[in-house]
Amino acid sequence: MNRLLSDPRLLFPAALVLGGAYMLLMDSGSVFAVTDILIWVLFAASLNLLISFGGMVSFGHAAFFGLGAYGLALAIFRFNLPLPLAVAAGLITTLAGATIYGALCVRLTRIYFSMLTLACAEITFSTIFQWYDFTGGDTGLPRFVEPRLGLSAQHFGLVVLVVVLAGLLLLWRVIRSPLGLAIQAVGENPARARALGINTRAVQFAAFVVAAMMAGVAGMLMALFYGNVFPDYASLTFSIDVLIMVVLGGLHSFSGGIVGAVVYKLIDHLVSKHLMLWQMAIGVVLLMVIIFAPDGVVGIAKRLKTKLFGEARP
Amino acid sequence: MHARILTGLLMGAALALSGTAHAQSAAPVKLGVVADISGVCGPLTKSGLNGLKLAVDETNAAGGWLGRKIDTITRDSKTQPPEGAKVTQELLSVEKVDMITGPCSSAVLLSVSATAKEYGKLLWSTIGSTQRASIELGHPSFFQAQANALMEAYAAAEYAAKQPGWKKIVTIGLDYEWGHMTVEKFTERLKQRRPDVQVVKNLWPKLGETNFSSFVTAALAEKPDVVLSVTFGAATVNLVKQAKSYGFFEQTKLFTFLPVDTAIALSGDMPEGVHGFARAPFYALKGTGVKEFVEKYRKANNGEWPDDWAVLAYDAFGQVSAAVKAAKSIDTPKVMEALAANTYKGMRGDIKMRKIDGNDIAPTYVGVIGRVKDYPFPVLTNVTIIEGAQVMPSEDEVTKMRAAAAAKK
Amino acid sequence: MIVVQIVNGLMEGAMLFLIASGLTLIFGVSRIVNFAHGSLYMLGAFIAHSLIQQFPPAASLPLFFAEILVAALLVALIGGLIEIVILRRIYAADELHQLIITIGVVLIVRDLVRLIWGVNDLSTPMPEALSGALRAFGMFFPAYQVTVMAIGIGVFLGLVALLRFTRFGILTRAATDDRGMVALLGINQKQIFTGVVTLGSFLAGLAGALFTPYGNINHLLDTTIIVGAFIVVVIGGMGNLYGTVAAAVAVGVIKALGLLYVPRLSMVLIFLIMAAVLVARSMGRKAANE
Repeated sequence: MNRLLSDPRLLFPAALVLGGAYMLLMDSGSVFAVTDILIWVLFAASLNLLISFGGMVSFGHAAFFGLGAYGLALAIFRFNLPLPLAVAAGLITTLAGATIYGALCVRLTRIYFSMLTLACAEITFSTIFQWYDFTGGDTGLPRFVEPRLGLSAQHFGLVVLVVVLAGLLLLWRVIRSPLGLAIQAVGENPARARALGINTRAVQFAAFVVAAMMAGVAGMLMALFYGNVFPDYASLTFSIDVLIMVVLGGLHSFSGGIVGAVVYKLIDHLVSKHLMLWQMAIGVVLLMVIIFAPDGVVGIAKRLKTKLFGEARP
Repeated sequence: MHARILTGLLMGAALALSGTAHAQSAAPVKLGVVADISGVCGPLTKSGLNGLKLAVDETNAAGGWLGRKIDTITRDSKTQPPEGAKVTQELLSVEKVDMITGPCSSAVLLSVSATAKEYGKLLWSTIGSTQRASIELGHPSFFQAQANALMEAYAAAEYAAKQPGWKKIVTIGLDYEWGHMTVEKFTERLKQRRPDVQVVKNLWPKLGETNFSSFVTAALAEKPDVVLSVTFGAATVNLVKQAKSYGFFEQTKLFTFLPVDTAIALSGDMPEGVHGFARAPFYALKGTGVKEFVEKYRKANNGEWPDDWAVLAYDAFGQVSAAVKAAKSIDTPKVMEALAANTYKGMRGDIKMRKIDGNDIAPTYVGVIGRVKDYPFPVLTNVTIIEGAQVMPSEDEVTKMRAAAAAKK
Repeated sequence: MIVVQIVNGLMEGAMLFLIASGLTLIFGVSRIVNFAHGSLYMLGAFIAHSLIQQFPPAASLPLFFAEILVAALLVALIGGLIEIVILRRIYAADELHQLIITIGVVLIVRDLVRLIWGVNDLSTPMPEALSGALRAFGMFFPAYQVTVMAIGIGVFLGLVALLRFTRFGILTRAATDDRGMVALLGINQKQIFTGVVTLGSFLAGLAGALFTPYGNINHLLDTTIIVGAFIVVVIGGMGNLYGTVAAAVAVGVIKALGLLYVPRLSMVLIFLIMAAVLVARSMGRKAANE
């Protein structure tokens, strides 16, 4: 059973079947909530690739979420392109942003890298925010398309599930590929990787672009989900939220980003409904996790499991 | 891999979320409130919620609507449009609310409105006032219970046109939709009325700016007769305080958006002679029940004076209430029908909604800051009431604006 | 016209320097990117507001400045406590954890401020003696801003003297250059860290307290301020006090002139400069290596 669940070749189809059943059988309210979480899962998992495996802490990952969303929305709203072309436009916009920002950012390391990602994201945000005639400025492009393309909550939920699972699978494959091993080698110790003959910058650039593309896909899903785009998609708030998710979930594991997004969204969902002090709740949880369980929720669960069932089998 | 943990967690999450669905019960009317509780709009929203609470409590004490109590279900949009869309969807699909009100920021209002449209449930706005919500993106279940931002810009221009000494104008507008639209439409209308007026400079501080000194000096350098400042809340307060130390008010005049809360925040720092426009300053209202409302409100809120947002939330609820009674239903089309058909006698006098854009034909209040003994804060005096009908875009214009927006696509 | 704007930019630069100096000191020694710096600034502003409300200084300037100073000292105390209780536990952790923990502090402080002082914008009267303008060369110089500028210069000189001539300062500089070496010399790093964080917090509190009578304060001041502070610190070279002065003045002046010539681009412009500085530095380093 254990092995069954840890094998992605079985896990992904299982998730697809179970998730699909959930999407089709539940009421729209529950499906909406899960759809929203799934989009964040993909967004957080993409950042997790950069941080946990590539050792690159981005303060501006939302730039690509926003670029994907706006590329798609503008293609539909301004240029009346059909959906497949609009999706292509979203991907191209994200790719263009990722190429430019990535080429610049990977020249830097550590905190300087982070600060440059912050600057790039703020440039993106300010441009979207101030270019009224084209992007709609701060009031965005509300209802540039029917929410969910007019699909029912359940059907759209299924679409999101499939896309998010495909995105996760792709991230998973990248990490397991030779490129992924190179990414990890550079993330752990750039000097050693260089000594091994790895072109560190090229590897980091590749990781940057892959992560950005997946964030862009998440942004496009969000834009279609509500039929809206707003500059907030590229804001520092979104960048920080997704960063918190990754840390909350736990670094250095593939599931960290996924678990972090789910936990964060659950806290937000449950607390903000009953308590006006939702920020404090998240702040306290963050402090606790970092001080007492720096390996995040995944780490806590792992330790619990070891305690309950003994050493994990290989 | 910790796949098992992951799967377990996801399943748990899925169950936790599905558990929140409620069975629909017939008894109370559910009013969803999407409020910008945290974020820039916090202060305005707080007053709005106080006004709404007072109105709902009174109505419930008097037996509710058509014998049904009103339950309010409040959510924090965090003044973020994506969050606004999310909680609106949750209120409509999980809580199954019958109506929605609350948003303050233009962007949140538009995102809430776009989401609510799909469900056809009544959405009314008392703080957010972008004309995009009622005109370009208007829909049959949207009701704007105040002069929208476009009407307000025209009203300000009508007032400015009547000031013979105002010939050379500098504008300072916050660099976002409201700022740009207001400056543009104000200028357009003013030029029609007074071709001799010149707008010599437009300055655009960013939203959230705290230091206005460079803008003040840049404005003063033009030696304008008046500076139009399209700012709100903290920005206006900062601008006025910082302008004072440059001898601004000895050199020129200021004309700005001045609801009661801003005047209270400025208090002692407010120079006399500032010209301001507002949406519902209680002391200038000529309709019915104003005095009683002020007393009740102060009693319920530790002696705080009601600002425009409290008044509008209360008054708009009264208007919807009357429409529900007249329609004998909480069905959106019927309520909208009643809102358009009946004149409501509220605190702002006789008010009626126009059908084409769901906008109240509501007044704007413009005057000059002075001090009177009844109130411990500066108030607008010599108030001119600019009636909604005078500044509303005609039905033709609304149709044209909608067509233009559709063509721009 | 241009002269007026430049003078204005200089005055704004002084304010920016006060905000950024503490951040850069803390970064220099501890390598922590302290997101909570904006929160400490906000606390300084609110504490000063409450003090001035409780004990109105009226015409007494000494009392006014005493209250500003008390507010800054209280913030220093809070900052020191945060260092001892929270930050100290995570110096061994990686940068990301340190950063996120300061974000946790930001979230907690923001809700605390909302809880204690409410959501309304608060306005504090300016002392009468400083609310006017000085006139010279046909220009207006607002008394309060001139005062802040003088304080900014004073703080800069004070910091230079502190870093040059005191044992604490010398150790701080040594720790900024090479943390490991200071540890090898057998010096108690903990004390240096606590000291620097306390000093940085004092500066944040001072900047916030000085802002109080100048503008409106609310629970969102932290975010408003922190990005601007980051920009200055980054352009100034992260941990470099002299660079921070230059950057603060440059950003102030660029903003004041930018609004005349490129009114709609000022926001993007400053981030572009920040990005350019970062990229240029990486190229410079590469060139030096080759």
